[in-house]
Amino acid sequence: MKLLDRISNLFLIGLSVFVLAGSYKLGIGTLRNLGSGFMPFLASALLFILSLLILIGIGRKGEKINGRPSAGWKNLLRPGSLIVALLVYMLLLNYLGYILTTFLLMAQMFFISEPKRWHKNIIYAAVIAILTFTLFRWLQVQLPTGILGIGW
Amino acid sequence: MDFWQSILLGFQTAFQPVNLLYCFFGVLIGTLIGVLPGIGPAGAMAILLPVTFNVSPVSSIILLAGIYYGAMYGGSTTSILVNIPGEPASVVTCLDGYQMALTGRAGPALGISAFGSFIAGTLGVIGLMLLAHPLARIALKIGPPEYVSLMVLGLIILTYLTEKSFIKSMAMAALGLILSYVGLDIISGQARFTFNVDNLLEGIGIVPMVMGLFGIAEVLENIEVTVKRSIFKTHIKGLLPTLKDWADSILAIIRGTIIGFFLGILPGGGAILASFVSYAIEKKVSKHPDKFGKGAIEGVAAPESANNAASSGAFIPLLTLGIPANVVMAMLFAGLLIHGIRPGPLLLKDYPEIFWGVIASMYIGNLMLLALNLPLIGIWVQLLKVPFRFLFPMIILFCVIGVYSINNSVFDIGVMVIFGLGGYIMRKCDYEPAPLVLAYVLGPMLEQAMRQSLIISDGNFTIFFTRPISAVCFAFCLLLLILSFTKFFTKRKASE
Repeated sequence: MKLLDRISNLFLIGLSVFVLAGSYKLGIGTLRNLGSGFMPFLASALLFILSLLILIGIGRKGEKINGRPSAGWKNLLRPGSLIVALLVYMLLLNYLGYILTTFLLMAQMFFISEPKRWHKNIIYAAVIAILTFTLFRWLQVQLPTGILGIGW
Repeated sequence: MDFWQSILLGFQTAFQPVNLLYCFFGVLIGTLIGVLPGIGPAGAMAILLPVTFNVSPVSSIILLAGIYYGAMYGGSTTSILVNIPGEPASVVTCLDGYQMALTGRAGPALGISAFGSFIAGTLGVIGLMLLAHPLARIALKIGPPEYVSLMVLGLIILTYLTEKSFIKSMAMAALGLILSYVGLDIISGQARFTFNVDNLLEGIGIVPMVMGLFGIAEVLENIEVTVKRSIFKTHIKGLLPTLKDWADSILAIIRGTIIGFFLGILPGGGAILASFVSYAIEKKVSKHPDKFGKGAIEGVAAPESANNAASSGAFIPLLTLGIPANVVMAMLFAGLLIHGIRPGPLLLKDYPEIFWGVIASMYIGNLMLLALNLPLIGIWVQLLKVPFRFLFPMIILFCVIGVYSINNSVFDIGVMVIFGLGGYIMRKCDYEPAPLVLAYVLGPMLEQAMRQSLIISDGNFTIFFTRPISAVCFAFCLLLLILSFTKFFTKRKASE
């Protein structure tokens, strides 16, 4: 995961440069009258310096990440598919309504861990979608019914 | 209002049926969160924050506080029975707790952990009652420069104590500050880094951020590979510790309580640090240090007492200074702000029923937790058997609905997913999310206090170093920075 570490670090450097420029544009002001950009400028300058230090650290021999052992790129398939499913859920929620989109999301999540039990997964997903809709409507939570008007 | 009247008011508020109910739900959910490895108290509080919108401020804070100290109780169960800490403050309990379970002493380990937690929790609440009042009075005399120094100190301590890289944690604190400045500048009314997106004018929501960083990221990490947990398969008996167990652990409980409470007050400190320090001290003062790590009951009693006492102590900076000491306190801070209440020295004067009601509810909550954790331990053990493939879709669903219900906005779901992905990458690359969230909460206050300080001093930056409290805090910050950088460069040299 050294590559991911390097990419994330370059992202932080890029972000800090972007915010530095943006803060300067907003106006740093004077010590008597601080501008809107003063604090973001300080914070982004700090982030820039620290990210550079981290980058130097990654490049050096012997520097390693102390976290969990990496699961490897192949195992990123499940987290990746969940992220995509959540983004699709976000896009469809208002159009298809809560029950239908939640059914699709839950089915996808159950398929992630038990792909062979597809019939059970579909039943679980449908039951959870309907039960949670009923529960949250009872708790006065507004949930979309979508263009098909499924729900109340 | 004198001290005893205040306490009476607190118990009067806490004993109202609705508040008792919220207290019970809080400690129940907290224990559940503590027992189930995965989503921690900060994530659980974020999920439940929208539920508190329609209830009174005191009930909502009683509920959220209950989740926090309830999780401290529940966290030990998984540490002892499965060797997996339910939440980070119970990591150290695994060392001796699991060893006790392996030698057939799971019952006394769970028992002493619950009793130790109860004693420490109760003493911690008493300490909170005694210290909060005078500290709130002192806090009224503290000016903006002192606030700046205390907030900076809190952030530096949190990054210094981090388990992982200090530099990376510091970078996350800087990122948290940057994110906190997204939205309208309250002084000039200028939009900052909003990219013409209307949803960003009010800034990034703390709830989607925390749910993403803690809830979604945790799930993403756990679904990578299917892991089967082995649960300790023996009938748990003898939950009540014997006289010998008590004799071995009572001093450890008292020491753990004192250490935990004072480390909890420290801005940036908290339950995790308290449990590690108390374990280390216990090992040092023990006549049989060789028994530690092999099932010493003191090794369970001390850290469990310390993390509970710390959870009480952590309320002091929040309730008296308005500065959240850790991420969980930041969520409580957000909970109060949603109800239009600003925590700080005036909280005691303006909202005594909230201040004392929450403190009194913690006392009642500790009693409820003792009842929940001892006779009902079997139920919690059964819960550990719920497969993660059923658990994670529910966590995701509750996160999604929780976030959506705040503003009925799918934009917030998107923010949560982005932070979830960010949190996942952060875990992969050893970046800690806690400094980011704490800096995010402190950012606007820091900016305001900085502006006020420089107005008071007519633009003279030395105001931060000429006022005694502020000077001491900054000197301490400098010391910690020197220590951290020395450690960083020494490690670098050694690796070469």
